Amino acid sequence: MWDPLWLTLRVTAAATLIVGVTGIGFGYLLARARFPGRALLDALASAPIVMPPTVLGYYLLVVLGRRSPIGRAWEAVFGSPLVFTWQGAVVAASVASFPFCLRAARAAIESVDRRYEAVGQVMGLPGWRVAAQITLPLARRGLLAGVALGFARALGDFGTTVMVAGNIPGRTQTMPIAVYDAVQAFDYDRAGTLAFVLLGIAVMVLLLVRRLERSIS
Amino acid sequence: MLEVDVTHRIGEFDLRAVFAADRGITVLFGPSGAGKSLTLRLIAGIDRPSTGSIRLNGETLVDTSTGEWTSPRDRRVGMVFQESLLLPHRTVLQNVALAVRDGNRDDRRRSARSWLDEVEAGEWADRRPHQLSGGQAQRVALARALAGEPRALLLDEPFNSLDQTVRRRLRLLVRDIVQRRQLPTLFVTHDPGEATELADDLLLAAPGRVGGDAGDRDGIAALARLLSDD
Repeated sequence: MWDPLWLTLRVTAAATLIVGVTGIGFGYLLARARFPGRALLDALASAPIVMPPTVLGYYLLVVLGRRSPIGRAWEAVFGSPLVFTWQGAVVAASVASFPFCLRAARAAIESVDRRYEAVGQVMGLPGWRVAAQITLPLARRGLLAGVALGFARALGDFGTTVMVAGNIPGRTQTMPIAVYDAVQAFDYDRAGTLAFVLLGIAVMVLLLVRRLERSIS
Repeated sequence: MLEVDVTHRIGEFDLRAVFAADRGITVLFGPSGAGKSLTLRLIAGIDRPSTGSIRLNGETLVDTSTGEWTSPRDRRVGMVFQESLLLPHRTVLQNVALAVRDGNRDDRRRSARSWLDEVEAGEWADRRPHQLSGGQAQRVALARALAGEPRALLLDEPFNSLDQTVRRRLRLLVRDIVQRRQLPTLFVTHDPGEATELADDLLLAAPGRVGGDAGDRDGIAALARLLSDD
């Protein structure tokens, strides 16, 4: 009971942090920057949404596995493989939830009135300050929604995580996987408890986000 | 002295703007859709002209024939739009302080405070933009435009959404500031009363023409139409 809960919180927190930063960063690039390969990046970044989670997980396993260049590099640096570890679960949850945060962030940034940015430029602010002090704060409600969406997707990820990190009790068995495991073992009491706690976390975070949203507006 | 000689094309719309503006208020007067706002955007560097050049006090801001380009942030012009465009997540004082170019945080705040006093908006320093009336917000926007110590002021129908009494008071304020600071100032309006009250120099605009020969034909017709409307 406590192992999957603690693991899920750890994995989800790390994934939300990663997805929040990269999702907002790439969302900003796609919304505001013009560069070659933009359309390709756009399509690639959204690809995980249309892929079945297990298929996404399979490809991640191929790319990150012990025989892949990335997998070998990881093992050389950290001394242990990335796949079938909690860090692998973080990568899986991040990749699966990244496009949701990205798309919300991008839409939020695109909806910022560009004249505010023009005012910032004319005022003499360099580009990064226009982004950090004008664009992103004006988009913050939508950005928060994007991070919340990323969190929710990461919290509930099953298929991608189980492919990349496996189902190792105490090590990579997150709550959604533990629920499945308990049902497979006909342990409906355990499944019910786990499901209820998972639901409780989701609702609590949702309430927190609503509160934050209210304090912003 | 501000010298403008540019053309700009957006889709089907062609703009040609040719004029020079000295110290004092030059009113750009003409119907909406003439390209007056676009002209200000080109001067501020928000948009790049298709061809031509813009010079401020002899310094080239843009010249498409030589490829010279000064970024908006290095042009040092102050701009006020029809809406105040104050950042809602910052206080009035913080909004103005953001535009102060030099000094540490305390210097910038001090400077912002004195600019707010200059436009008689000092007492609202700690308010948020949504707590201001339209006229108050435009005063703050004016303070923000001045806080960068601009070499020219660009005012794009700044008082359009305000009622007559407030407008009159703000016009006096602008007159006063421009006189004291000796700034070349472009003031866009389509209100004939505002144009005649403020203009040291009047520049007519017609669809696709600002200055140049706009006053000869279409501009005068537009002026006559507007005056007869009132």
